[in-house]
Amino acid sequence: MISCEQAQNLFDTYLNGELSPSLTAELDAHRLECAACRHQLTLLEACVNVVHLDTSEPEVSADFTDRLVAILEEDNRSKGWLQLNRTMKVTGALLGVAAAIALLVVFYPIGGSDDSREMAVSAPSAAQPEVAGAKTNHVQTIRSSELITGLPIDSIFKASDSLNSAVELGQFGVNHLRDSNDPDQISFEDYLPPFNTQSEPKPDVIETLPELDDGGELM
Amino acid sequence: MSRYNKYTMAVAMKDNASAPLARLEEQRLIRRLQRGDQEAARVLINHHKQRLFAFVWRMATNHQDTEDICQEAFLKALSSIETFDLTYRFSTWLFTIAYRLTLNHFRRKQKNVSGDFDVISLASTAGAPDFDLAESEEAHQLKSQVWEAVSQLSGPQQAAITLFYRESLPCQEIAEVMNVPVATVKSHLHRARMKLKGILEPVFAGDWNKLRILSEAVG
Repeated sequence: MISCEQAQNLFDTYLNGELSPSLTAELDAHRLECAACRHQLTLLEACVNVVHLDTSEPEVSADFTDRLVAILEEDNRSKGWLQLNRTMKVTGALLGVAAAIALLVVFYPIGGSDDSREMAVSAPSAAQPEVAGAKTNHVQTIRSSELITGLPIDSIFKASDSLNSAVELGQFGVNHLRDSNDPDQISFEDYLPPFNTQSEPKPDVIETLPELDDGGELM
Repeated sequence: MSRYNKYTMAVAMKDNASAPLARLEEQRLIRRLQRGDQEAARVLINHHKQRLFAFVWRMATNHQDTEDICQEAFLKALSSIETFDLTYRFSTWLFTIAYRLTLNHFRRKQKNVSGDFDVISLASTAGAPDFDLAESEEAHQLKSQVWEAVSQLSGPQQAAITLFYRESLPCQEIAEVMNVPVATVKSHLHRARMKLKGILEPVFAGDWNKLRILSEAVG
């Protein structure tokens, strides 16, 4: 027969319900013989039986389910509104892109290329007659735009910046929506980088500008 | 309400509301819930609310706090039900959320989990005593002493004991709920039993009659 120490080492496995039948038989045999171990094991069994069977906890409130379902329904309605709001934001971004394309068509009707912007920044140089000659046409284009729209040349450049911002906005909005997992975390500001402020020229644009010696202003 | 809904509701009302749901039935309910059927949410809540409440109440011991924790646990579980993996048990997930919320609750309140267990209110909820041995004043007193000893366990020990004996969860599932290895769960169970034995041995002190009363009180 097993000793008291061996028996007590088996208590946990026994109470976990993991003791093999042969060891359970050993433990039962010891329990019959040893009053001290019998008392300890009976005490532990009585304790866990209280935890297992004594359901004297208070009842949850009768209206618990109704309250919870009401909150869930309210949440679902909010989610529906959020979904609608999100759709509106996407639509807004797409409208921004459409407006940008419209601006492009209006302000660059003839041969509107990146060179127009370059010409707007710097005057032609005598040291670069070919470049200067080529760009004269673009100066005329911009001046034509100025005449057509009746707007000063600065306004045309501002519109061009807005165009860049709008294109970035469209890309940003679509990418952000695609990457985002949690719509709750998206704020309205995320979709709307400031439209009204004059953006600084981008470094990569500056790098591509040809070096012109006098840097004279067109106007 | 569809025919299927009526059937499910009838089954839910006929059965003990706290009884664990069969695995297939639970999966069907979750699929319905994922399709937006709010009645499925009601059935799931009704099936789990009292068990969850009992689990949390044994640690929180305050009715309002317990209901708040249960409500939050249900809301968290049900609001992200779209992403629920049906290979897991809903109850495991729910108890996991509730366990963590309970721990957070205590951290917020900077309160000792075993600090203020309300033995008197617990005893008073068990119904009026009569002359039956199992319902005698002494039986109530002994049960209260056991619960008082349980309340002196640490939070994880209480959770392990309650989930193991009350919810009859296997150690593997308790490990998932508590986010600890299985060996740690077994260690919590072992330490909990040793502590219970240490507290209650002087109370029972070889008195077999008390143990018999206690066993009959919960048997």
